[in-house]
Amino acid sequence: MGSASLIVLLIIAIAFAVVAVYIGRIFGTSSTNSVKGEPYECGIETKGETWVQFHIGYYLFALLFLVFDVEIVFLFPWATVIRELGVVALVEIFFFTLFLFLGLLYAYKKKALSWM
Amino acid sequence: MIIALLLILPLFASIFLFTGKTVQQSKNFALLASLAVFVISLVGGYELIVAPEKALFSNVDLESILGVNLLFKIDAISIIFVILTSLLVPIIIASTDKKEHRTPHFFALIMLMQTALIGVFAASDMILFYIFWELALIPIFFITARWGGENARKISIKFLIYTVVGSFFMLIAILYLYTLTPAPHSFSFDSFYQLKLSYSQQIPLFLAFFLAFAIKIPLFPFHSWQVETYNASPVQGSMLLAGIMLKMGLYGIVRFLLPLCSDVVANGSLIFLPLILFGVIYGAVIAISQPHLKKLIAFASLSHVGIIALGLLSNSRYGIEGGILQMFSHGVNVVGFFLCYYMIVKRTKTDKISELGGIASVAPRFATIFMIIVLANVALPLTNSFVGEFLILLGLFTYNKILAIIAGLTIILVAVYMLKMYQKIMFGEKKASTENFTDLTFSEIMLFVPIIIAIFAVGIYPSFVLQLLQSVVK
Amino acid sequence: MYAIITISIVAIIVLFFGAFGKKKMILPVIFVGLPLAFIVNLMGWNQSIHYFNEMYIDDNFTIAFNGLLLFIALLIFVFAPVYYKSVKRPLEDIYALILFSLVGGLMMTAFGNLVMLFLGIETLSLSLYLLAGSKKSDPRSNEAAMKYFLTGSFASGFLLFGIALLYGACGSFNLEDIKLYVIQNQANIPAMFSIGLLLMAVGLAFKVGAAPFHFWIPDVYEGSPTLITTYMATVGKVAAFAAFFRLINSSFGDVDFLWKTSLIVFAVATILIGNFAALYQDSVKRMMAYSGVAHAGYMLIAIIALKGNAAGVLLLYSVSYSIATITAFAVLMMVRKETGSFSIKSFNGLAKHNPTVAFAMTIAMLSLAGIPPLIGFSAKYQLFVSAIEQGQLPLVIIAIVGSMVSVYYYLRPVVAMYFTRSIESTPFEAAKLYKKQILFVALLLIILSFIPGLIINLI
Repeated sequence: MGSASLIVLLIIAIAFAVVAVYIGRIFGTSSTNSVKGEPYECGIETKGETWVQFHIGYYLFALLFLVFDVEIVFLFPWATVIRELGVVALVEIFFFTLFLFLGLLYAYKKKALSWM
Repeated sequence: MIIALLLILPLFASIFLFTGKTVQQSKNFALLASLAVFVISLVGGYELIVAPEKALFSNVDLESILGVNLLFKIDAISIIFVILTSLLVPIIIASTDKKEHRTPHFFALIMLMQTALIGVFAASDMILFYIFWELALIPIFFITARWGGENARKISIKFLIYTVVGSFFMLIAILYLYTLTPAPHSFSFDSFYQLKLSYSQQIPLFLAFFLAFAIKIPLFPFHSWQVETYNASPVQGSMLLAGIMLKMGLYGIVRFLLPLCSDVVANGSLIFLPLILFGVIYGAVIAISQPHLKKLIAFASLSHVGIIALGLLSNSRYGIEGGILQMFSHGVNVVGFFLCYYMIVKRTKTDKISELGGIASVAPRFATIFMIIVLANVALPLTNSFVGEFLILLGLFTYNKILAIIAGLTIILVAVYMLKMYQKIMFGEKKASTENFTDLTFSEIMLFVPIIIAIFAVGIYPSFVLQLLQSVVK
Repeated sequence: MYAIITISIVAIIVLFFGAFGKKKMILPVIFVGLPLAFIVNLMGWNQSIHYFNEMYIDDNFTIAFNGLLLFIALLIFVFAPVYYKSVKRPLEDIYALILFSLVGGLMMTAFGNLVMLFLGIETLSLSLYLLAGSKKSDPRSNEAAMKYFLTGSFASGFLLFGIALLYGACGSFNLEDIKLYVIQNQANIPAMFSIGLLLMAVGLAFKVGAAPFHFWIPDVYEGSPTLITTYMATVGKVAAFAAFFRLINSSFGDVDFLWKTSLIVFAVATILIGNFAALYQDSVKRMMAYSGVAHAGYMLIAIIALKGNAAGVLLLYSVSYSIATITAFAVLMMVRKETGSFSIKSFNGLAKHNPTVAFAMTIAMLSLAGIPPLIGFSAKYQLFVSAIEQGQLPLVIIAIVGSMVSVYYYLRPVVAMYFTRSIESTPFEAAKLYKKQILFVALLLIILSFIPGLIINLI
């Protein structure tokens, strides 16, 4: 019983992927023009090699952005219910931000914030 | 109390010896400890002779800590093997020569071995039995591999793997039996004996047990590790192996195969007895043509233990009694034989029979002692083997006459290779290697004294052992 | 619960001591913090407290396994300073990551909710991915990290999908609610439920390294720095097994027809593949990796047996496996430092110039092989007995055959150490203290061999 439905699921999954591709090819209208080859919605065309290496600093910044990103994600719902939850929630969010702050502090001490 | 002493004394001696500094001190200490164990085992034996119905019993309830039930019981069968072990170990320790490169660890391993062997014979709980059975392997493995001769490393690994594989079969059989015991399940021997096993349950059980014991003994098709291991081992290792360790397998037959699989033994004997018998003759015939003394002993031993197994499985009371008695005798005799071999090799540095000769004329004391041991191996009346082999053949005769006659023929073969060997080594022309053969010293003679006493004591007055057995063998 | 908080705080302190340049303080903090967490952990004994709406359950099972995990971690930190002695890079992040992953492990033994399980597994795994690649200059380490990350996240996907399907069927992540659902719908279990359970089993089998999902283990174990391999093979495996056991035990005990067959297949395949593959390894490290696979198979048997004292048996097996593995790896680290290779040849003649180390290795190998009277034997024996009581004799016979095979490869280092002469026989110059530490762990193994009953009856 269990395995039968698993097989059915598998077949449907494969069929879904295959069918979706070919339906597009059969029913879709296709056209070729120069605009289609350009990068999507990204301003001007690139010049030269696109596989260039970025400075590692960009990645660090992207990672650090996560700190604030997560903070905001949690702070918004917290802010809507803080009145009902009372002091406990206040203390807990204090710890939460404290940990995020520690992360930032660590990054700062490790000189991740300075652009070399 | 006695059981606790028998186990704890050698164990602590072993632990102490692992930290030993000088070889001589370690040897003396090990000798002292093993002699103490011997005395204790004699006390135990005395208690059993006084009241053979009873058994020495020890049950320490530590299962919640150890995970294993410490259940020991020494009955008449067990005590024979305990005494055999504690008699032979001091001899083996004392026989170690100063010139050999031994370390304190050597004696520690021997004492550890003794602990394990006594544990095997005294255990009354299957898992305990199995633990000691496996524990006995570790010291002999190291003794063989570290102090052995040529190729000792390879051979000891082969030996180890062979026997470990065999004992895993036993483990399967034990676990199978465990499932059959009524809940709450138990591993004690008594709960196994109370089982009423059907024929179809006995067959797989018999096969697993038989395989495990046949490898250990070893019986005919599983013997290929034996000769090599004897040959590669230092002589003390060979003595431990041939004198005591092989008896573990035979003891297993007495303890488990006979009571638990009695129907299969009764019905199937005609299938496996001829096989064992073939092994007996095979060993004897090869022994005749062996150029090396040590290999000759190995093949002779193969042949002898085969006869014991025949007796045990012959399904008759005489056969079983004779088999047990013969196990004791064989242990004593083979150690004596190895001692003689060791005396020769120590002096001449060779064990090639063709390079030896004329020793009797220069070493009369050695010649006498060697003669006694050879005759004991041939099973001459008044020596210990005679009683055992006689009973075995009697038992076999009541079971099947043809088998008994063929088995009887092997006695002639034994006489042939033994006497031929003795004649070649001891008489005739002196060779280069035996030119300066010195006779035994006093301390060397002392090694042989207990063996010769045991040979004649059992040979002349076997009934005190047989009386012990009668209460148990039923 | 408080152990988790303690370890987290210790990890952060370690991180900041490193960042603020107080490098000498790092190890003392760890050596105070871990025992402290151990004690704090023990304080909840026999109380069975539930935290956060049954997200986290602090019962005796949790405390016993968490105690073991903390103890293993402590042992690994004991060997860390020597291992990292010649490493120039800052170490605080490695130590902190080990501690963070330990937090994940502690959560995995205690979850009362599938979300918590996933959280624990991810905390453990994410740190381990990084640790596997922590030897940045070594391409093999990078390769290990990459492989581990890809397969591990794949497995997490399975696990998550399984959790989602289970939630779809039962409407709850809570183990108690799932159990209630199982009892009510025992007769007609929907397919969604069984598929979800199967997918979770597959995901966890990935994490514990059970065949046929073991293929990542050899490469990852071999490529990672040895100290991290030790950590993965012990803490990672024990935590995953505790989680696996808790999951099956607390929710799915009544529907064993759904998972038993697949787990038996996993166990048989794991035992056979692990043991037979280990036979052909020349590198001891890789051999230990396959041995880890084989032992995962044995530990699966404890989950299959489930009833009776299976939890105690699993604990005993975990103790015996992890302590022996740590000993073996500690010796391996030393051998590798001195000879520059993991191959079995580098063990040649070790007994001659380093008798204590050879002794420790021998004890570890014999225990792993399950030779009486060491703890490895009692663990296997109790495992087989508890499986046989549930009528799994054929499985046990296969497991015994596996053990037979394992004796051969576990003996190879022993033989090399004692009976093979080395080409050059210089005594290792490893610190005396390190040798003593190795000896200490081996003696611990011997002492534990005398109290398997105590460990089993603990929970």
